[in-house]
Amino acid sequence: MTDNNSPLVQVQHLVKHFPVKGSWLKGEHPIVHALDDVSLDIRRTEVLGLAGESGCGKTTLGRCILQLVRPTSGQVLFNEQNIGALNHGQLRPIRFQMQIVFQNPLASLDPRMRVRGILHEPLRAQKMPDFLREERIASLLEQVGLGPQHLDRFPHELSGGQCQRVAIARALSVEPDLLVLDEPTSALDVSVQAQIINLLEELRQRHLLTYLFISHDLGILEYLSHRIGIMYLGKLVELGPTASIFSRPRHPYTQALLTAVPKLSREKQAIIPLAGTLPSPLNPPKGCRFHTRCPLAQDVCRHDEPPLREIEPGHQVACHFV
Amino acid sequence: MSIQRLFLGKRAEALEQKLNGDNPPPPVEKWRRVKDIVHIIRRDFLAMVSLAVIVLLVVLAIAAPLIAPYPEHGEGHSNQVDVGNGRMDIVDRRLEPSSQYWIGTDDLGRDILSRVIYGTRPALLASLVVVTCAVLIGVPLGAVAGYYGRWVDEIIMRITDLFLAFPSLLLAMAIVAFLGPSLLHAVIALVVSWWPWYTRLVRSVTLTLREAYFVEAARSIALPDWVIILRHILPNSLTPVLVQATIDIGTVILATTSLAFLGLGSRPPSADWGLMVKEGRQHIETLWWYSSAPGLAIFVTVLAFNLLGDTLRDVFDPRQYR
Repeated sequence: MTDNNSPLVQVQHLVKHFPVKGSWLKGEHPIVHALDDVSLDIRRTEVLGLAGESGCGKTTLGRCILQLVRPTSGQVLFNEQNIGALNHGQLRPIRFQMQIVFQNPLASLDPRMRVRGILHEPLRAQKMPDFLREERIASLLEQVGLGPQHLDRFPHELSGGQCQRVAIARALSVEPDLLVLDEPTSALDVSVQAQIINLLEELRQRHLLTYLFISHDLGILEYLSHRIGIMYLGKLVELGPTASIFSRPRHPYTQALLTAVPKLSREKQAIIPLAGTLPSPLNPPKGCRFHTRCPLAQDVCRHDEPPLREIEPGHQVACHFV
Repeated sequence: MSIQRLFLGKRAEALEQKLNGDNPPPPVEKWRRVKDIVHIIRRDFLAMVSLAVIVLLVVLAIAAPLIAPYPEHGEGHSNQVDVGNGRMDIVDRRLEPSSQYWIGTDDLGRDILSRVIYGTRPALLASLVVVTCAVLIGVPLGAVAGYYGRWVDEIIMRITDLFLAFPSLLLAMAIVAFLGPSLLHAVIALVVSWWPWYTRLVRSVTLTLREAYFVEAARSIALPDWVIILRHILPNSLTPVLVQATIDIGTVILATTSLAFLGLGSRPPSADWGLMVKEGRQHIETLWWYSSAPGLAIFVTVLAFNLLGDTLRDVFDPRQYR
């Protein structure tokens, strides 16, 4: 049996490159470096937040962990089993132990299926007998705050929040251990966001779930997560306990990110502006990826890539000057 | 910041329940779907007319012996002699319209109106067979090509390119010329030249569907590829196929009658609209109704299917339901 103290997911040196069609005549083979050597653990029943700009590889990381996208190299251990090495059939039982909730609730539900069909599908895939399914679906709907009156609706007949609840119910229906939440609230109104967040937290405690919570919204991450990872251009730049990240951010990128969050207090806080734009992941900068925009950048940053070092127990930063 | 957000969120939640802010569309009763389809067709005048025309054509085709005033081949007349490819009425040849023969008689003394009515049979049957076969061949190939991509896609699409490189009528003519003229051979030829269009259509739809969140959700519960294609991809690519198929029924009628007109389809003495136009062509200056009557039948039929196809586009889009 698996040791309960071991992390649920161990990501080791994960790399994902997407080849892009280049000019055939010039013999170019451009590659998008979506993830470059990312390592992290997700502990049992914790919420690991993942933040970073668009295109920094947060979503790709989530998909690689679920093996929806096969990583280029590196390993994903789930319950200490290397799931990257499994083929389609071997992966099948493990798929049910990890599920995903997407950003766009309406697009994540098949427009031609009623809620009933959408919720039946995963249970049928698990070969649950008919008479148990109805009961289970009723209980799932109740847990996510919907009722039997929603069973015969099509997704377009539901509101965004309700669609997301159905998507959460679908993900939970197979009783997973890990839920990857890929910006589950970013397409929703603020008031609905809060409902969904509270629902997710309630469900996590009830079912002892582990979340990988991907979001732009640092406020939500601060509220929900136990630990936060900050990503920049395919790299994990800082990983630590939420309180520590918010009170003492170490990496200059994290600092800039946090000061960009508007505050409702009277005290003025200097925003650390970042010069320039995000470099292309097609051709990431050498050395530290952040050196092109970093206020602290020195020569060493242009040549040497800083490794992720532990500066406090549980707090890792990839910067030469920490 | 997050605390304020969540305070607001909780207050908003209560407020919202009063105001019903996360607005779900109204609930749906059971037969709503059927009612909506009827409603959409009924509010469109042209669609109603074209649907009426198509229903009329189908009734004519089925009940032709009951409706047509004279038999298809003019059997049972008093003045008949056998002329090898049918019976000829030596007295009543090429009569002008009269109360006895509403649109006159043809070269062999057969009632033109009766033959136009009988002509609905080969026209509708042949086009229905052609479109059904083309859909059955083209749609699965397109879905497979689009879903798997890479070399599967490459092979299937290059084969369709091979067929699409020829104008479809020209290809059909070549095939019939090779097989020998008959309605069956015309049907075979048209199936061969028609299926690649459906492959292309379905492939392009599948390419976008493949990336959809709901397909990814299906993959995350380890559904086999064929189930995903059958249950999620095909139903969602049905709309353009049905619209195209409806329009194509008209187009194929045009093609079979064109082949018959060119002597590459139905052979005399069958009552085919294309053949009748061909026979009447020699008398166009004096007996203009001879080829105009079957020509008008072709025109009305093709137009009706085209108009219906346009309306079907609305009907099969679930977002059109109120």
